[in-house]
Amino acid sequence: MAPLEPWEKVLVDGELFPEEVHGQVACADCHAGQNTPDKFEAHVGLIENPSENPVESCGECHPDVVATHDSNLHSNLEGYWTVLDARSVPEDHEALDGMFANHCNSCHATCGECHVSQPNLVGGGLIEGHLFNETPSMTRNCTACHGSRVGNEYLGKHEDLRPDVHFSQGRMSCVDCHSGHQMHGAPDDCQSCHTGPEAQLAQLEAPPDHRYDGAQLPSCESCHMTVAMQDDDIEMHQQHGGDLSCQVCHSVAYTSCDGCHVQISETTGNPYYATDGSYFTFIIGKNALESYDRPYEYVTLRHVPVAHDSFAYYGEDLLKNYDALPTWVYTTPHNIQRNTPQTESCDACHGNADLFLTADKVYPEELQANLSVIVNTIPPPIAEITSTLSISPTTTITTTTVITTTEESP
Amino acid sequence: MKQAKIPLEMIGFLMGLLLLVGIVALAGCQSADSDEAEAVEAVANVEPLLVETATAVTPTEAPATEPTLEPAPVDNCLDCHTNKDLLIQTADPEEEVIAENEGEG
Ligand code: HEC
Ligand code: HEC
Ligand code: HEC
Ligand code: HEC
Ligand code: HEC
Ligand code: HEC
Ligand code: HEC
Ligand code: HEC
Repeated sequence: MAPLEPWEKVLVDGELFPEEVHGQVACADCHAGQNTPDKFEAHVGLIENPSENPVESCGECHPDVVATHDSNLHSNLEGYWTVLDARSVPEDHEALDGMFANHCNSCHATCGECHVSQPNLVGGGLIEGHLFNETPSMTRNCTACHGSRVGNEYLGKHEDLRPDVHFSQGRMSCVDCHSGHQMHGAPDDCQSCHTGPEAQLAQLEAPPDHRYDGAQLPSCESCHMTVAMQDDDIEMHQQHGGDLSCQVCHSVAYTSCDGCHVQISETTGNPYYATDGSYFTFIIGKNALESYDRPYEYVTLRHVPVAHDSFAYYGEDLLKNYDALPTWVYTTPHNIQRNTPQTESCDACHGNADLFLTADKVYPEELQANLSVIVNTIPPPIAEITSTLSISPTTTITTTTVITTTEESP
Repeated sequence: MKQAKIPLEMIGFLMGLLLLVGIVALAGCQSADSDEAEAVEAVANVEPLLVETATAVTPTEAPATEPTLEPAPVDNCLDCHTNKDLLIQTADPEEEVIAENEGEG
């Protein structure tokens, strides 16, 4: 996609826009400014991004969507606060507020950045002559923000790595899985929340405070129902229907990053960040978010680039509770394949320590933080299971009992 | 004491009734009123709206060919932002984006 020329970014479609509902509203009702032919004067008091304040600009006609906006992660970025708060102490929150304003706030998404223009993060610009698109564009809206990791994996932009099967075979776009309801901060259907036990129902009122809070949106099983019911003849599904997340078998290598540091440039005065590097990993570890909605014992993990001194520019030792959360975090890579190295055989995984987050793979200074996700005992090769038991590995109940005992780690 | 109680309750009841009748009557009037007001407003709005739309689509035509028409309000925002040449002329040169960020975001 070629970058837009400055004039292209602001060219309104004079035929189509005035015809559509939003074109009946005067420009100034949303953008303020002055009605004069002089560009400079006309822009005095201009509101460049009217949907920064959706109550004002959209609320009258779309009250339902606007109502959930504030509790939406796209708007409040609560996911970032959740991890920052957990790793820091209240006395340092003020310094972190300043850091957040400089480096994180620009990531939040307005209504317009999904429906009208490209995100400001990539320089803005009208997408279709100011038409309000019902369906956001995958490449000009979604992956403009979610590009470097999710987008590149999904679209297969990395050398040697295949795109996600839902893209290559299913020709699916982001919104085929991530509905408008989800993007607006409400679940798709009642069942995705109202199936849980009492404790979970009690929490329904609380809006999500990170990306994996609450029900899986979407869950793989919502489309692949036969797998969920273990109603196919794939042995691995029967063996590992509930204890491994689907990605453990159906994902391939994905992006992890190290050592992000943020500061203000001395030359330009702009905020910027730098990471020590990104690389491809495929790592299985323990599920630190085990819950009714995410019952798996093992999941895929990626390394997030938070370091002890990530925010040193803003103050000394701002992450005093660094060890409160793992740096190898629950992840759901967007590069699903039917056949992966793991699906080749049981022993592609059993007995293969390379695939698991063992202590030796963790940086010593991060060891403490990751204790809850490190795998102490990798599943033994299938032959070992069968020989020590001298029974068929398909006798699930017996096998389960035996492995559980050997698995018990000190 | 006993005697005073009955009339009091009766008065209360009557006043309630009166109030109710009043409210119903008022509400009746009001809704009729606002319906009318809306109808009037809707009619009043049709003319300028149509003019504006027509002008917007062919902005140069309206005043020239139909001098009898009241001059329609000019929307300078729309005029400029639908005029590619004017935008090219007036656009600020793209500030050079000095991206100092390094690594995956
Ligand atoms: C219903 C409200 C609304 C009306 C009416 C409206 N706009 Fe917009 N406009 C928006 C939104 C929303 C955006 C996207 C920016 C954001 O809020 O995220 C936008 C973006 C723009 C941009 C692009 C900014 C950029 O660089 O990305 C231009 C230019 C613009 N509008 C001009 C106009 C003109 C000219 C009119 C009248 C013909 C108009 N707008 C009418 C809501 C409106
Ligand atoms: C004056 C009322 C009004 C305002 C203000 C308004 N909308 Fe709409 N919007 C509508 C109506 C009516 C529709 C349904 C149009 C249709 O179905 O053709 C709509 C449809 C939409 C759609 C779906 C696109 C489509 O073609 O169906 C989006 C997205 C949207 N609006 C976003 C916004 C955003 C964002 C804002 C605030 C910047 C906003 N609207 C402000 C009345 C409004
Ligand atoms: C302006 C940047 C921006 C745009 C555009 C954007 N996102 Fe996001 N998105 C974010 C940020 C930032 C978060 C994380 C918020 C947090 O964790 O607090 C997020 C979170 C998410 C999440 C997880 C949280 C949730 O609400 O489920 C999903 C899924 C998602 N985005 C999908 C999409 C899709 C699909 C699109 C296009 C329709 C899109 N995003 C467009 C910035 C953006
Ligand atoms: C992260 C991206 C994202 C953001 C931010 C976002 N939307 Fe949407 N919106 C979507 C998606 C996805 C759909 C569904 C499109 C489809 O089904 O084709 C949608 C659909 C809509 C629709 C049409 C269907 C409906 O629910 O009525 C309207 C109207 C709308 N959005 C308005 C808004 C308004 C107003 C805001 C800001 C308060 C907003 N959107 C913010 C992604 C977003
Ligand atoms: C085949 C379905 C599917 C498609 C298509 C899809 N996703 Fe997802 N996405 C998921 C699932 C499943 C999750 C995990 C949800 C959960 O566990 O709550 C997820 C989670 C996410 C998250 C939050 C987790 C993270 O990695 O940050 C983001 C952001 C996201 N998706 C963005 C996108 C974008 C952008 C696109 C389009 C390029 C897209 N998705 C396409 C299924 C899909
Ligand atoms: C919104 C529905 C939807 C969701 C959610 C979804 N899928 Fe799919 N999946 C599809 C469709 C459609 C296809 C393409 C089917 C085809 O081409 O035969 C597909 C294809 C696949 C295939 C390849 C099947 C084949 O026969 O080649 C696998 C493997 C797969 N999905 C796994 C997953 C996993 C794992 C998840 C969760 C991360 C998931 N899917 C989420 C709809 C979905
Ligand atoms: C222990 C590994 C493992 C796990 C965990 C796993 N799968 Fe599979 N899956 C396989 C294997 C092996 C195949 C067959 C591959 C082949 O065709 O050679 C397969 C095939 C599939 C297919 C294509 C065949 C079909 O039934 O349509 C889909 C779709 C699928 N898996 C979805 C899922 C989903 C959804 C989950 C999570 C609920 C999941 N898988 C969990 C190993 C696994
Ligand atoms: C992608 C990795 C992976 C693959 C492929 C895999 N397993 Fe496992 N398996 C595990 C892990 C991790 C455990 C230990 C977790 C646990 O106990 O649930 C395990 C445990 C087991 C156990 C112990 C019982 C239990 O569920 O705790 C048996 C039996 C087993 N696997 C059989 C198989 C067979 C048979 C296959 C091939 C059809 C297979 N596994 C393929 C990862 C895998």
